[in-house]
Amino acid sequence: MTEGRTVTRRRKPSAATVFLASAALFVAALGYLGYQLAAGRDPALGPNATVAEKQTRPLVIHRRIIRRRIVTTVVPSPVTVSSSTVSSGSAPTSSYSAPAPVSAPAPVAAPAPVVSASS
Amino acid sequence: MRDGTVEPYDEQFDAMGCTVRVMIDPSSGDAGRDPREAGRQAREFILDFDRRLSRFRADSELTALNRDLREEVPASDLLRAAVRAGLRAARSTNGLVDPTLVDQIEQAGYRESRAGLAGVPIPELLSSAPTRESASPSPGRSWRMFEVDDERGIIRRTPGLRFDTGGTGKGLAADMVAGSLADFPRFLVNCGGDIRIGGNEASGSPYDVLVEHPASGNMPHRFKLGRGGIATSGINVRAWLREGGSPGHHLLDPSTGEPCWSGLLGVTAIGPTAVEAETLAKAALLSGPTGARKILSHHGGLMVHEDSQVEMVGRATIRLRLPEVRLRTSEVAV
Repeated sequence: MTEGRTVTRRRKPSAATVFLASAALFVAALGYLGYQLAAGRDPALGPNATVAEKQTRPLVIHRRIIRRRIVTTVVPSPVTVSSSTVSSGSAPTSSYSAPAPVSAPAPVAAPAPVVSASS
Repeated sequence: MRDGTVEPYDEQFDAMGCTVRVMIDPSSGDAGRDPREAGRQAREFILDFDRRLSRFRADSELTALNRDLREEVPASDLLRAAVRAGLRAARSTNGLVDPTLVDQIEQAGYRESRAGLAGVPIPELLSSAPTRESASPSPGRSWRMFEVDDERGIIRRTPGLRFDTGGTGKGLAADMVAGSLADFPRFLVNCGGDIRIGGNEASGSPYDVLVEHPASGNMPHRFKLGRGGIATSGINVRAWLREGGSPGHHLLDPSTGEPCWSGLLGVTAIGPTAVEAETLAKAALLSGPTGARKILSHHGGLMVHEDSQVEMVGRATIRLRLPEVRLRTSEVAV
């Protein structure tokens, strides 16, 4: 005697259902990614780095700084002997903070300069 | 002396409350005088000049004159020459350089020699100085009360009036020494900045004379002087703080008897002689910038303003030569 078996066959989902489910899943995934991007958490940039942080990385700019240094050397004027008895010479005017004019090294045997000063 | 050649004489010593320097170039050959002997005599003369004409010495001839109650006082050739030089300075400046302000200078705080004493820094002096104003002569013109009579060898004046040879003394001393050195090729006598230069070959070989800036102490200018005088007058050296803290110095306004604040710190003047240069420098400083330009215009000179700027005046500006300035520019990459 043969026992009859009951076979329950599940129905295949309809094509429309599959299409709608796929579309819904796609929309959900797209929405989630869009939310993340809008929140500044771009998954393509890594788990902890935000877009703003990436953009504020210090910029390294290579700049060439040229400092112009002017070295001034005061050379005493050559002696000018005129026919008159008086002439005058070098006059870098000075102020309280003005440095003394640079003078040429004097010969060893040269006498001390003659100075007219208030006394 | 070395190999028969006499070396130039150059000596400094203290006298008249300042440093005196005498420089004498010897004559070529053996005919000339020994500059060392002439220098020694110059030194003795200046020391004697100081002893006899200092108002700070109780035993000086000048002090004796000022104490004498007679109207006519016998006076030596030297004292008469000194008084005559002071009166000439007063006449030529119409009383601006007044040698009879002894009472006033003592009241201002200058009773004793200030040789070796430090002055007051210029900024401190200026910060508490009164309004800037040029000086003017004393209405009384008491210097006119003095008269020098060389024939009788006396000085006549109203008893009680005192005379101060300090305003022209250094220049006069330099000029008197110069008279004894005229036969040397070249000489220079510097009595505390009042300088006389001369000699029979001096014009062809002028001396370099540096001028000291009264505020900074630098030497902002150099004159070449072959003959004549040059002198500097300023408020930076003989300056002090009076009781109460008000500043004082030795250059008085004759009209007020008070230290003069004209807007100038110092003046250097060139003149035919040292005493004339000294008179011009004092008169210019007392006159303030505008008057100083006029006073210095003939022989030349320079003045230092209160803001420390140096202004050349007169002939000196024509021959002003700026130093050759060499600029070397380097660029350094850092």
